[in-house]
Amino acid sequence: MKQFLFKKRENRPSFLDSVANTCLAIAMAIIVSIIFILSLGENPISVFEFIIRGAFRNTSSVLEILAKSTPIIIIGLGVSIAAATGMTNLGGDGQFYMGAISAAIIGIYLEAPVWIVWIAAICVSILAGGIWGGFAGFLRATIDTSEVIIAIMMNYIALFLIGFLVSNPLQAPGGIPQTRAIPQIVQLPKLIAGSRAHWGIVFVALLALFVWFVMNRTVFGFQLLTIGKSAKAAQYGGIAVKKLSVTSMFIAGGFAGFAGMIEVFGTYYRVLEGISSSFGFTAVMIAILARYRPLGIIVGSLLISTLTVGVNSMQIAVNVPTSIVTVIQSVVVFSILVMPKIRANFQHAQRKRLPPDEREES
Amino acid sequence: MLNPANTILEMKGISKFFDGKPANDQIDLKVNEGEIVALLGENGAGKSTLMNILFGLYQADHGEISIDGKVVSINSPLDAIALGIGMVHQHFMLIPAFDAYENIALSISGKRNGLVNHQVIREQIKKHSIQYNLSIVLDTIVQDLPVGLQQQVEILKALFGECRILVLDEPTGVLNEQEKIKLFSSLKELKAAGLSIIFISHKLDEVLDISDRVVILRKGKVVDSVITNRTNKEDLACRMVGRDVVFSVKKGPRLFDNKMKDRVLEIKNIEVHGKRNTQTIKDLSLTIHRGELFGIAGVDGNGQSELVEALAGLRHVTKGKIFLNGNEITNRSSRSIKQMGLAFVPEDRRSMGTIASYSLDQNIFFRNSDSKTFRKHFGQIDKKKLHMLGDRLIKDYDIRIPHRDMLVGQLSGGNIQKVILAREISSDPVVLVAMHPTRGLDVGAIEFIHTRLLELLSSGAGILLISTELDEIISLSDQMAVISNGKLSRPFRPDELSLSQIGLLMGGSDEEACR
Amino acid sequence: MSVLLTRDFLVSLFAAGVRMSIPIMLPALGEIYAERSGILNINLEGQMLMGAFASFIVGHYSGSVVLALLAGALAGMLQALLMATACIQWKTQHVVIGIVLNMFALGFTSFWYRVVFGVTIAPPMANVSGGVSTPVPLLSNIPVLGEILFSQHFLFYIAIALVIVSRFVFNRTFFGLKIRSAGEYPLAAETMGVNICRTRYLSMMICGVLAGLGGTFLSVLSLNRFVDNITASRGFIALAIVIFGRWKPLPVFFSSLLFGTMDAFQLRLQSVGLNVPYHLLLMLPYLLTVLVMIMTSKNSKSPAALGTNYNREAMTDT
Repeated sequence: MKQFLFKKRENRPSFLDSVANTCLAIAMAIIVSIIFILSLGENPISVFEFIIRGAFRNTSSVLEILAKSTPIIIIGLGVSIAAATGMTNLGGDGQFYMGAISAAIIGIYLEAPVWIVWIAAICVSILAGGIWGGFAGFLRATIDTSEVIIAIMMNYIALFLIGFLVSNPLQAPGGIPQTRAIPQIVQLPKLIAGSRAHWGIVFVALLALFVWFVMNRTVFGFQLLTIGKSAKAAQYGGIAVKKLSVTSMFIAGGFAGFAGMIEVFGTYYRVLEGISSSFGFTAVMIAILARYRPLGIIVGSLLISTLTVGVNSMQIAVNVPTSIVTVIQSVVVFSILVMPKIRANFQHAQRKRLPPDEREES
Repeated sequence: MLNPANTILEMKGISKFFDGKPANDQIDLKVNEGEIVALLGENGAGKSTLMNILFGLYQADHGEISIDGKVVSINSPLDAIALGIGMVHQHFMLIPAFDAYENIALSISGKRNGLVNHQVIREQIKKHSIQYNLSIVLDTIVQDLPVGLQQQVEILKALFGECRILVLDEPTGVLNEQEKIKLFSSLKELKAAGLSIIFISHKLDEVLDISDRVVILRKGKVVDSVITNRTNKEDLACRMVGRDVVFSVKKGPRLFDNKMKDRVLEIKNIEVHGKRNTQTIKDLSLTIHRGELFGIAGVDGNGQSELVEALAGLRHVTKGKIFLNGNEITNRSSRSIKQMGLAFVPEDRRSMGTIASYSLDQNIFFRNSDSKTFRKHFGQIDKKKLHMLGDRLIKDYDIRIPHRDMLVGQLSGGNIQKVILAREISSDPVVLVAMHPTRGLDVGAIEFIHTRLLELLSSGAGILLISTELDEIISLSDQMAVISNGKLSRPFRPDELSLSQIGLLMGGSDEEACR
Repeated sequence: MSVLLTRDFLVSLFAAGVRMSIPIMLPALGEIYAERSGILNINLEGQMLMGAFASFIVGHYSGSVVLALLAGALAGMLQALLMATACIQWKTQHVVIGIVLNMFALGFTSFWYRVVFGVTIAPPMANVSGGVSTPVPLLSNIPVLGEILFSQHFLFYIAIALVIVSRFVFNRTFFGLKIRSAGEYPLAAETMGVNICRTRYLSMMICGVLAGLGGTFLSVLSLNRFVDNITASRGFIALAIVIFGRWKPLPVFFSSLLFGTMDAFQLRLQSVGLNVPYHLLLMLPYLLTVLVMIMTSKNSKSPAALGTNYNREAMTDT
């Protein structure tokens, strides 16, 4: 037995391997963006310099990065929980909207001590988002409907529902389609006065820790992961497959709803049309990129937000459209997904050329 | 006329490795025109692998294939078909959602993409089926046809490809006696028409009956090649097995007095619907007592899977009742059935019995995740306790695992089966349901598993053993029955009926025929 | 309500419904090919978007309908090839890679639109002379029916032809048999001489072309403009329609008409000025999709191998 002690993890994708894949993917994204920037007639080096300088130009830009990544991280953590049971939660935006509007209603209309308002808003937003997500999960678990299509349809339904609410019954005086602001006293305090970053980011760190704990240490997390590995085996193992699958989508939706509450109470103080700029899709991309690990989701979200803040500030200086962030993001994720397979194909082809005796060794 | 010594196919030095283990090891095989060659060997001897290489489903790691003396490369079934090789697979290669006609039309499509000429093809099918004495039902969806008829479609399909070499992989495994006789007469006609046939089997009588020459494989190597009419059954058996005894573990003779014993499992007139509502269990009853092993023999796909899934709470029972230790468990959740003491070794050990990408500890835990034993505060998993249990099972069941973090999917079949068995038995079951627990395993592992099953019996549990290996059922059971077409024969003691009588039951004959 | 029941209103409603169904119908017909061959092409949306964008650029600068259509078809096909390669060659999960490639198409089109046209106050027009309808001689004179069905855009006639051709392809040709077999049981199909890779690539290319044409109709022929995310999840509605239509051309054709009519209906209601908030009307097509998915999925029978990658040795290894 002793001889094996030293090659403990030989059969799992090694750390080096995943680092290599990530590096290759980032290299791909850089190459693609260089091509794009060159064809614009700009100098890639100086564009990159602008982006980095722009993102870190002062404290407020750094805090802006934190503010931007807050909702994405929360939704992304939810996505990772749904992914454990094999569900893809593309409904983050709709769930976010539902959480935001119900939290706003509490914030505006509930007259109670701050703590109670906060707790009520959190509960209601989680419930609203959870129902929105759980519905897609429920249909998938009971009648095997694609949760992706349902979730996307639910996004639009939520979008138009919000549109209706903020321009009709909940509209603030003044003609702009938005709700009234929540009272100042229940607004989340800022990290530094005058910036957009608020104490919500602290929640995020705790939430990530909590998700990590649940998924890696608890029976519940283990059961969710088992369903994702093989629903057939999980059922044989006595795990309530359908119930837990729906639960995982409910939690994912609840997270997105909570993100909506945080945005309303921390950043906008009201709900308006376009409060979510496809957070849900970005969160899914980042969760895939991070292979559904909490720490990875935080790092990925911070990176993408840095890029967004950088590009936004650069736009004033150079003419590079902000949608380059979307392109870079999708190229990185695409490469991450495809790279291991390409490398495996390549290695397989190489191995085939070896005579059989040497092959056994490799 | 044909020259019988004319070699049509030659395979030289074929080797194929799976995970570094040789499935085929330097195999040579020659087939002449108009000859029926039988490939004889036990499960896992490498017969199917060799033929899958010939048909292009696998690529050999080593060796060459020549046809008509010319070296050819076969990279896919397309190449094989073009070279005139046809194959009737053990698991039929038919599109279940197509009717027979569409299946045959597809098989002759080749490089054509255009219009399907219905009339011409239908006439050709008619012509061929009359010529080779095959019965084809054209307009029924294949998945609704009985297996015998499905096989006829499979054969006709192979013949349509204008093949010169026809490979049949265990063709009789799913057939009853009449269907078998019909198949053999078809094969003889094909031979007379000049086809070369490779017939894969592990059944000695069939091989003696149909072949001109027998090539015997053992553990991936050719051990012998003999002319059929210069050998006999005993000789072949000895060469195939390479040892004298197949099953060394035998249940000692015991006396049974059913009135003295508690009934641990009682199935009363249950009815179960199968996949796509096709195969159903009809009015099935059986009783197992403490310390008793009840064996169910039968050809695969006659309702065994549906029965065990219904017992384990994974499939809905539409009629009838099931009692475990006197408590009704009909249609309860698999979790509560497990908690009430029914342990279950499923047939699919890699995708259901275990989770390949989990470690040994995790594989023990996923079947016990609700038990309080392994739960700490805040719903945490008690990994220490789990690890200790893992250590104990590894020791008790001689599970060969290089290190504890290794994924179970990387273990050999025998070790995976030991993991499952260890896990199930460690839960102290009232009844153990084991389906194909030894399929595809080597002799050592089989003996080990048999010993463990008998130990479990002596501790007072009941066992329901379902297997296609008749020898296994006969040597281990106290009581046995045969399942055929969803119906269970009357239970009998293994020594009560002769082998041929049991064979008849398996072929679907009713009980009176066996009296 | 009386204004809703006049003959003119109904005829124009249904005529508009037919017109609005075109950009869902074409991609949905294409998706039948993809899904029947076993590929769950979630990337349909992206293929439409690429088609809409490329045809707009070409239409804007050339002014030619034919060139715009060709560009749209080609762009859709290229995007489909990317998806196909990822699924067939690199064996990635269809849903995940489809989502990523949709995102890519969204970013790509939005980026290059701004690069080409910059930020303008007056959005550039496609200015292609193909946006009008072409009445069929004689048939368009039939009262009501002629006005609804035969005074349509020529892409609608192409769609009708495609429905007939597709039915024929799936039922009566070897190619159709091959596509269906690849989506049902690829291993068996390969033993019968079907090249699974090639069949799936071809099906995806057909799908990409049709999705690209659907996108072209949206940007060049209907809106005369290109805006970010112009497809607004019509690709996903088309996916739902394929399920609703049970992977068969004719039912898919009729379900597309149903959706188009629903879309036209909610637009009419807005313009009629009924006292229904327009946000709720906008919601209708998406609500209908959810309802339709709930109604059908229980008894729908999808291709058995839909969404799975074909790996020969893994499948034969028991």
